[in-house]
Amino acid sequence: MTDTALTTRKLTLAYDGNPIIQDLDLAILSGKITVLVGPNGCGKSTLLKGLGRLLKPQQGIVYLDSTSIFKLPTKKVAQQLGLLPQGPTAPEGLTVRELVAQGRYPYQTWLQQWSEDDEKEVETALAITELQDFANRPVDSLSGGQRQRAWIAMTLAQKTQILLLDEPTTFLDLAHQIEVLDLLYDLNQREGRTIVMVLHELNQACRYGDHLIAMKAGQVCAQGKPHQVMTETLVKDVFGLDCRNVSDPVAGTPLCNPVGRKVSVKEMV
Amino acid sequence: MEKSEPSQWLIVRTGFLSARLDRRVPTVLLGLALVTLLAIVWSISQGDYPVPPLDVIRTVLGLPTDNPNYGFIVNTLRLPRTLVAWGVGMALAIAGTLTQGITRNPLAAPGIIGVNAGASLAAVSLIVVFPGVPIAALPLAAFLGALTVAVLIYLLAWNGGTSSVRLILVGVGFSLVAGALTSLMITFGNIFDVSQALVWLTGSVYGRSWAQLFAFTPWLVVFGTLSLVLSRELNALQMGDDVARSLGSRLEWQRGWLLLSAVALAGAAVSTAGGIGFVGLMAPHIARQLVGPSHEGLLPTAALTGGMVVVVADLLGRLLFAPIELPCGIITAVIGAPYFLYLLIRDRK
Amino acid sequence: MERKLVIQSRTALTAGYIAGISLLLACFVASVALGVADIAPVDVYNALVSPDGSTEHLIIRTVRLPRSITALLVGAAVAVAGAIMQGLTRNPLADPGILGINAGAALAVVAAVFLFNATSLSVYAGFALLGAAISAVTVYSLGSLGRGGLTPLNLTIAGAALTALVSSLTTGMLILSQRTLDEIRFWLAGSVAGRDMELVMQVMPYLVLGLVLGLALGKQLTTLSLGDSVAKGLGQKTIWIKVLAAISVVLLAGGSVAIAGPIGFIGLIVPHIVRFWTGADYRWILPYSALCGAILLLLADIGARLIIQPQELPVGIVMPLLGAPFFIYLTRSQVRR
Repeated sequence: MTDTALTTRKLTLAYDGNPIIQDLDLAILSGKITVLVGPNGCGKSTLLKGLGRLLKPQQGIVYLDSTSIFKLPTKKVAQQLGLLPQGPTAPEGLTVRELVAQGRYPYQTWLQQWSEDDEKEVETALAITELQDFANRPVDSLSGGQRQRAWIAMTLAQKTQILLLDEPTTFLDLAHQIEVLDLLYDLNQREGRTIVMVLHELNQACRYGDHLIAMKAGQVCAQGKPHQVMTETLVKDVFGLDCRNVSDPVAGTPLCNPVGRKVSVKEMV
Repeated sequence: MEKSEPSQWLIVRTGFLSARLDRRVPTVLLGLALVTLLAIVWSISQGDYPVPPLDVIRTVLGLPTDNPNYGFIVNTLRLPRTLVAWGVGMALAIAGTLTQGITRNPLAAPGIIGVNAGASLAAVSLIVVFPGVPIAALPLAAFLGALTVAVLIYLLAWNGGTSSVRLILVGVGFSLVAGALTSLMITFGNIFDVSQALVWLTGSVYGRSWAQLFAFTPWLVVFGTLSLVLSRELNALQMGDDVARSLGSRLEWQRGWLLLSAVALAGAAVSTAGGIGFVGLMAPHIARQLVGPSHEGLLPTAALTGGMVVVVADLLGRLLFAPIELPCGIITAVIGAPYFLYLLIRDRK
Repeated sequence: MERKLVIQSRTALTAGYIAGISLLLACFVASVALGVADIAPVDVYNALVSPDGSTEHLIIRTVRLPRSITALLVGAAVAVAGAIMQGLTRNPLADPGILGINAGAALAVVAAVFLFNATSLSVYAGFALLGAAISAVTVYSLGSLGRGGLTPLNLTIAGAALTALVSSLTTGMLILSQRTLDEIRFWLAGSVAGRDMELVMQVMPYLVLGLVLGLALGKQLTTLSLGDSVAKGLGQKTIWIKVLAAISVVLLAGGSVAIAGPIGFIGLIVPHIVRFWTGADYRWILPYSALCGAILLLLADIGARLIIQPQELPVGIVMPLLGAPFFIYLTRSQVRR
């Protein structure tokens, strides 16, 4: 077991010939939660897609365990690397169990379409995400948080060591956001799964991430532990935002308090 | 693991084989098969020369009946045509399910992939421009037309990869061109030939023989089976391109095979019986209501539904204005349109 | 659907339009001048300004002029109707056919021939307009019964269903009666030939009214294209705008079918082509559509006359043959995903 799960070497990713990421060398640490942060359009989603084999690099290579992911057979990669894109949609009428069962795709063959293993993994995934009671309900009848849990359950059934998630908490209310993030944290702690996610909320990124990667305009500005990366100078640099950082009273991680125009309570008196 | 509700699946596991199916599927399939059988028998018994239903069954099984003419009427005239109706309905329904799955658009019909346009153009050209050519050549010409247009559409829509939107738009463009050329022939051709061409265009199983049934069946069997085997791929495709790729699906490859099956099935159907409309659109919807969106069950259910619809449409076409026969394609449109409106109204909150 | 982003300056758009008008005039003159008997532009001018009763001047005044005017008006009308439909249904595949207008008009005309033995173009025109109006009203009412009311999806579904139903009834009649088929098939192909000035004058008010109404709705349509909720939030009375837009489409498309038979393609394709240049603002899309539609139909009609001289092709057939390849090329290069 190597220290790094995924590595990139001189990675260039482009859409229609416009390079979004250029010449990037990056290492994703195995068994840790890595969070990508940065302003809109900095290329975090693009990078995630590149890591997840959804985007073919214009140049450069992405290595999974020292082999280029594009040289590995597709199903083998799918058994080790799972990606949950932003805002996924399930077909109407699909039940939760059917959705989770889709995660077994990389293990199925023409003859073995529903082995005992498949069944066991689906039930395990449902148990971990505490969705057994909803298993036979249609996915679209669930709340936002439950729906996201169902999608995560699908990636769990996929039994991948590495999980990539693109903004898994956007559009969820605060309680559901914490619900999903706690679930991912448990997965990482209990089973040592490598998790890479894109998050908008800086404070959540600090709280849940072991390793932060701050990006701007396709380049990595800083990476490291939250208290190393999330400094007032960096936030100003990357986001153009003034802030005062304190220690989060609940978790002890950096808590970024932005300085906008409305500032002082004293002024209201 | 405690399961509080009964499983929604039927699971089959033998030595080297395992599969799962929505538990509603076997019952639904049985029901549809029964209704279709009844419809087929009833359809054969009706017509200028009525044959009692029991005698229909006897004649088909080769048992003796009172009237020696029954043999000819049932076995030579009506049975093949009704079986063609059933087969064509099944093929169109499967093609429709595949098309809706590939484009992820519940309003897609097989016509979108240009099959109808190509086949119609080829068939009408043959009927109007070369009336001397024997009728037997018609299905082959139509099929080649369908295949050519479908391939052209796919090639032209390919630009570094396929895209549902481009496929639809290019398909629309081609349909317009083919439609214009067809219109050209209808406007200027010999009136008698044009009349025939119109009937073909609307979709009819009039006069379909055993020869045509045997020419058609292999396509249905081969590509119908292929589609069934590809159900898993279709299921994965429904989740969106990104999720499908992440699950390890070789997207372009699978889409290509699925498209090929859809084209082959629709092409074979259209070239055998003309452009019967609405079946490819209706059958998957009805089937989804009955057994849910998983394609392992959806495909056979849609197939049986489509087959049943066309058999019934053919029956009605023969009965409504007897002795004049209305092509079954007209009946399917007359049934299909209100059905869609009914869906519209029923879904209102 | 992602397209390459187009932002033209107002100057560019205005300049383009003026250039377009010059092109239109050139096409119009060509349309009057060219044909089985080619006539020099000088003679065209004389025929209009100081006719002297010669055969040539007669041809120009009674045959070519009405035909060219018809082509210009119908082309503009159908294109604008198509653009409005696409804006209304927020569906780039919409055209006036979606409201069942062409199908309803065709059904009415075929029924008139089948049941009443109608034979003259003016009678066709009357029935066509009636059929178009009834279809549009039916589709609109059915569309508003669906979930959420008159949403683009419901309108499209209602229209598609009704069109299929109506066309199969039409085909049924054509199959049952070969006489009807013979009478009507040229008309069904869509043509601007042989329409006399009187007929044009009869239908022109509808077309002009439709055009004025449509063009006036430009700003409202742009707002509406942002979505019902946003439009309502901005204070727009969306129901009224939708109804007015529908009336405009019926006048434009119904009038066009009445005079020239069902001409497809323009309503669908021209707005697409125009949008690649103008972007998404309907204040520009509509006038540009009118311009391009008119030019397209004039050119197609010239082609229809010249391609197999001295025989003539119906323009409804020539147009898709010329335009579709161009449309496919555009789709390939401009549509991303």
